[in-house]
Amino acid sequence: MDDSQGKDGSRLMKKYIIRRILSGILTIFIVFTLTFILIKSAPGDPIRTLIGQDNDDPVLQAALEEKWGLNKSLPEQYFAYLSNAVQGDLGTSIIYERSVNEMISEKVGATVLLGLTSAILALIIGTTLGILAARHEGSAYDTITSVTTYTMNSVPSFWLGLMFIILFSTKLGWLPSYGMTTARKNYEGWAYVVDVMRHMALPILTLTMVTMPKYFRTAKSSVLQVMNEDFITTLRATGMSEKKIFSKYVFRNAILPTITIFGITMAYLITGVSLIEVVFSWPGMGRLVLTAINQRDYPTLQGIYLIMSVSIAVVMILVDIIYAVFDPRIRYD
Amino acid sequence: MKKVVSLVLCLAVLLAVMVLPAFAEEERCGGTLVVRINGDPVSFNPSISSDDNLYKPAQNFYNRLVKLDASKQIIPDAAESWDVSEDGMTITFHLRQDMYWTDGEALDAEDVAYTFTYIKEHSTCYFSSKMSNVASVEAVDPYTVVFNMAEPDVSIIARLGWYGTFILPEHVFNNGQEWADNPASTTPTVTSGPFTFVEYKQGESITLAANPNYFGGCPQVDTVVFSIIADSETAVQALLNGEIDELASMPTSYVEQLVADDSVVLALNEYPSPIRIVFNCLDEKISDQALRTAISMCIDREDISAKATAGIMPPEYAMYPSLIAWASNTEDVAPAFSVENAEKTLVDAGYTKDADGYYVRGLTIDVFSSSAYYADAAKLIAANCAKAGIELSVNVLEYNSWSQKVGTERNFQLEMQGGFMGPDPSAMRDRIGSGQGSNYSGYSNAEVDELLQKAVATGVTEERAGYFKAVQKILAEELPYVNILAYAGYDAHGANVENLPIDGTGKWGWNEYTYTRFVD
Repeated sequence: MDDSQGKDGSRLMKKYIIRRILSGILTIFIVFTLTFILIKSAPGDPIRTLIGQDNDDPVLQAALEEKWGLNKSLPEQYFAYLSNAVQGDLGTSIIYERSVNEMISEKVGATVLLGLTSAILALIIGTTLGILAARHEGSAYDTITSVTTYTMNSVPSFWLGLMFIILFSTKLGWLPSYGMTTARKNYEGWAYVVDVMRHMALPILTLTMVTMPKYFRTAKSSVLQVMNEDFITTLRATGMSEKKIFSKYVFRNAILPTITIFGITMAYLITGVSLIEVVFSWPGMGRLVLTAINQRDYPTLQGIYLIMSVSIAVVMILVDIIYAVFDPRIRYD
Repeated sequence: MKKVVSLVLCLAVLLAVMVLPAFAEEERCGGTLVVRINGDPVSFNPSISSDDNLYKPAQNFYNRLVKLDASKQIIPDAAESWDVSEDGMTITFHLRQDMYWTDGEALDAEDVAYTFTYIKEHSTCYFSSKMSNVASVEAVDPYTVVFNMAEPDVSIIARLGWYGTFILPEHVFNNGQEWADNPASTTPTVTSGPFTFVEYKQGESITLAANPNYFGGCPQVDTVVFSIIADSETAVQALLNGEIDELASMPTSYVEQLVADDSVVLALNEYPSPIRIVFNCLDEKISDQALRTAISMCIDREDISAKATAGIMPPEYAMYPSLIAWASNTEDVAPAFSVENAEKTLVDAGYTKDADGYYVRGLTIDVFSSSAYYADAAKLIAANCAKAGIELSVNVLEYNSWSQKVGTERNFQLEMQGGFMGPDPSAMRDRIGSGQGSNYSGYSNAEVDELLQKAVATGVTEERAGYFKAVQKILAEELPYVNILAYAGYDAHGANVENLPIDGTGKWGWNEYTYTRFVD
């Protein structure tokens, strides 16, 4: 490649990245607007939560609506929120009267801990089992793992979580059933770390079990596809060992789709762990989302959706850029 | 002349005085009690809003003038007695003289007057609108506080034992800040109750420690942890494996299993919160009293109780909860179940059958989905209605959708709801008084309004009971609503724990853990 070609490629790449970032910002703006409209259109409102189910008190209702600016027109509310959001201020929760930024930052760590750990475990276990199943296609191992993973794929995560609680907590007494720490104890140092890990065990087991089939299927089909490519047949004809063909050519080509799925899983991390956080009373963002939905806590919901749309857009842009690096044709699209 | 009601309340005080020291003198057992709550509290200031998740903790670190016991009747708290002037325009509370905040300051009438004056002046406080009949609150001396009424309303005494009425320390809150902005609303370090605030872990727990200087005696356990468990199924498992000690309102599906489990004790907790059908009296079809009567005759309460709630919630025939025996009229009740009589009522009223055998078509009952037995009960009623020639379809909605349609828009014909009918029977006024916010039926009857007004203008219990029963007699005829079931649910706790809130009728507060202790 000469210099001019290199400069052209670099220029095109920059242009592509800028275009992708701009389209990402536009997407975030559209999602922000749509979620604002959808949230406001949903029946119910946070004032009803604040005043209580049995308290249809018009005076209190009007006072609270005024306090939270809900008596203003929708465009006024929208632009007020938008101007704060672009400055990084996600507003104040109507229910908890706390900064939404603060509430999200307190919860995000617990969710990432649960989501990331289970995603990595599911990636490693699912991919390993998938590759082994592909390499022993048609064997008893392949049949057993395929049936098991397909079954796991159909099992609702909240049900599986409850079954694990009944088995490992109630029947066997091995692990705690809920929360992040033991309520009766106040552990510190390493004992605290061990306590948190014990509490993580069942939610992570559940999440890993329900996520793993996705990696299993992808890894298995990718390996089978690559192993049937003509160049593999050619390599076999050269006398190269199966082990070397697999490690040097099949594995590298087959692993890419799995990495893509991992990236997407990360982007959807919050929604992915919501139900599990509820079942195990894990103090993360997923539970915050579900509570905010039930209470119609507009600022909290809007803030969480904004964070989610930004994180999804960022991951998608990164994935696109990585693909563009590997496949130059994409830059010209 | 002081009102007779004072005598009844004095008896309650006497009982409390006799019983409480006995518990206080027992050797403390110590330990950490773990109690389940459903979610995070909105704040740690229980006098701003009505917050179910703060109700339990707040009951244990602050005090009110009066509090509710397990039977949902008021018992003394900071006020050891009270009386109502003859004209009903003055309600005087006499405070205990041995109450202190945790920083050593005395809890006195100034704190009470400050708290309720602030609430009255701030319309965003939950209890503010409930004080519309209160002109002012004054501290007469350090241990006497007077509520000067704009209009006579004795119902406020019982309401003071409900949400949004906790006494706050004036020397902490009266600093020029609004309550919501005061750090003490986030971290209540100066408190007065049996426990002191230790720590709040968002999404996890609230920890309280025993207050050795509490006027009711040092609590039996060292620490209470209110553990936040959102999912009821998980909470049941946590109770079974000993991670928590108490679980209120247990899912009914576990009752049979837990009754057979020696490690757990179940106690039925009844509330004056009947499950009822509300008729929209402003609807063209439903405004016909004959049709409302016919539909009421299609309600087989025994069948609904057995099939929809496994018999846990008993049938409720009275128009006001029979649990509150002194005010409930058990003679003038809703029409008895009879499909034949329902059909006859329609025929007598001039309805005629169409080709499909229906007298009335196109009726809908709106119920919300969060309590499965609502939909089940509605379906059983609809099936009986069909037999009587009334076409009734069941519309199950998510709670917020139901609330929007029924509560805000009043766009319904029949709806099913629960809801507290206490702590004073005058809560009926909120439900059926002309123009009241919670009067979903749109019902209006000047005689009922007048009777209810008279019932809050006197402190004489017998007189009040008479007015309430007269109201129920009218309601049983005109049927703006009809009760179906008495709300009840099982509270469960470990067999190694005793003196729980459910055991405290007449002795200690509902949700209060001062005397709860571990046993061998």
